[in-house]
Amino acid sequence: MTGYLVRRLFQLIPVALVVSLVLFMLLRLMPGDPTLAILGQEATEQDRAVLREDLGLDAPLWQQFTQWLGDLVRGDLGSSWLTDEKVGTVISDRFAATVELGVIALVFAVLVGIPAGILAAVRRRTRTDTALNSVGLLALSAPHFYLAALLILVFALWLKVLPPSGYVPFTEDPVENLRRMVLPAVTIGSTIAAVTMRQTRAALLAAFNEDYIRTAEASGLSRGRIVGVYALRNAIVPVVTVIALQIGALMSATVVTETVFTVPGMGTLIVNGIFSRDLPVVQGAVLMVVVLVLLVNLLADLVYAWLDPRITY
Amino acid sequence: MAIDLAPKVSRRPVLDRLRRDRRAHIAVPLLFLLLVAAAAAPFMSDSVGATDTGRLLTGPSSRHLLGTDEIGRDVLARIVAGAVVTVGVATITVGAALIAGTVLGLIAGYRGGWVDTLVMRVSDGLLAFPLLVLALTVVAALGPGLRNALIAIAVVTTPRFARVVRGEVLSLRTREWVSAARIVGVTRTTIMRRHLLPHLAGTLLVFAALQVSTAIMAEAALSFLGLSVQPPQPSWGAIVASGTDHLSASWSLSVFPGLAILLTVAAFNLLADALRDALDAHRPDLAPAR
Repeated sequence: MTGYLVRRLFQLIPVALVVSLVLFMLLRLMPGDPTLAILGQEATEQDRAVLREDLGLDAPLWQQFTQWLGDLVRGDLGSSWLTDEKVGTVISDRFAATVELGVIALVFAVLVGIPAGILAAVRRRTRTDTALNSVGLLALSAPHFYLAALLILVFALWLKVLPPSGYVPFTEDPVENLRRMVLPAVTIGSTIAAVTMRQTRAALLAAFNEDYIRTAEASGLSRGRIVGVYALRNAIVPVVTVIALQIGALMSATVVTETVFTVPGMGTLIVNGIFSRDLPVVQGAVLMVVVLVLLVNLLADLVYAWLDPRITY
Repeated sequence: MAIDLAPKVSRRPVLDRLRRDRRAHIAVPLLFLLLVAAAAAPFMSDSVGATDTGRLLTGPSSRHLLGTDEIGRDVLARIVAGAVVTVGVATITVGAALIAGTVLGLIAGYRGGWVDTLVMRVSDGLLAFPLLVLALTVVAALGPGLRNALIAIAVVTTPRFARVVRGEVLSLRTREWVSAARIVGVTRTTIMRRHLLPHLAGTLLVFAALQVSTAIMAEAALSFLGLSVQPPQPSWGAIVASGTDHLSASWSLSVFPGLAILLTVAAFNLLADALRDALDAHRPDLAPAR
């Protein structure tokens, strides 16, 4: 197990290298001079030259990259061009809201997706199955910003049961924090719930055809026990895989959803960074998001072994 | 000389199966409607920009079937005009990614060696980014605007095609008819073009339909954030964005353009599902996701 973990971490090295190279190149390739973005259009040529040297923008590209990578390895993501704040500090201020949102969204997706998948599989080819599949298709086809608008319309403006947007830190007021997290978390979780439902249904239907289910039926076990214990236990591994593969999609959804609900997380940080051309912040925030996705996928691989004792590493 | 040793791929039963599929019955009319809207758009340039200043943010009425926006423009006209962006995004980004990804995947899968390693490592790196996050990064580098949004979406979609094609090629290249073609001296390029490519068509068709959904959704999100199509040109995502700014004044301004995106994406998803079953191409990587 330890050997496997070490191997997997080593496999991440080329990916991480490509990721950092892509991020570095993309943001250096941008047209226009970043010193203009920082100092404004009326800056003198002399001021700009000084700043260029300060930021290391006058060095050759490869030198800029090794410098950047070196700082990165030491945990230094640079400073915001706008506020001069350390990017690391800016990100750590925003990280909690995004992680909280992601976790609640995942919990929602699992709590809705797996039971819905079980129901659809048990009632396959009935109206219930068709209805669940149709809802799933709509959830997969609705852009998150649209779903967000619909939820605000119904729950905040018409029914007036939840606040339309805004954020309160959990440490300040846990109840209000959760009330404000419900709509964004449901928005983000809906897609994953739909994917989880489809996968649970498919995996269960495949399991129903297995010999051990026939044996279980023949030996007179209750239907609930057959589905809940025998079939589900075997169907759950691919479901975990699919949920883990959705983490990237979850982060994409978070970016847009945070903007709609004005949650001060990584998503709003990236979007605001793009509008203000604050490249170090965009770079650092995107990098953290990618690292998070890679780590969650690694974690998912370790969870398989725990769920399915036949898997050994 | 091109010797065709590959077994013929028949299309007839596929079309028959598709014609009987209920999902296709829903998807095809919706997509037809989309094309009609896109074709009608150039003739509507007058009504798209026209403002009815006495009626701002009104709901559906006989004068404005789907209501008006915050400066009194007709929402229906703007949705119809926005269809051009959606159809353009779908064809340009997925077309570009399909061509680039297929070429890269074919070469990587068939040649192997360092080319394969290089293409696949770069793909891995790009695929490690969440799709919209990478698209945002590309737009951050190039600047907002429709052209840059199209480039961004094509860039993030290409490695997906490369990966799927490479996977197929790896299994196809070991077949007897490929070895046979090689032995009789058919060149590498001809093998890839005449012998491998036709067998990829089914998989690519299904995958492309799914990627169209993803691309439309990604462009809509970029438009919504104000990073793609710039005003006053209408696009569905941007209309929803102005709708969410005025939700308490008008429900219809965000509901109808969003519905247009939802139905279009659902139609492509249904079409992909129906195509996959008709072609019997059951593969885990062709499952709908985004």
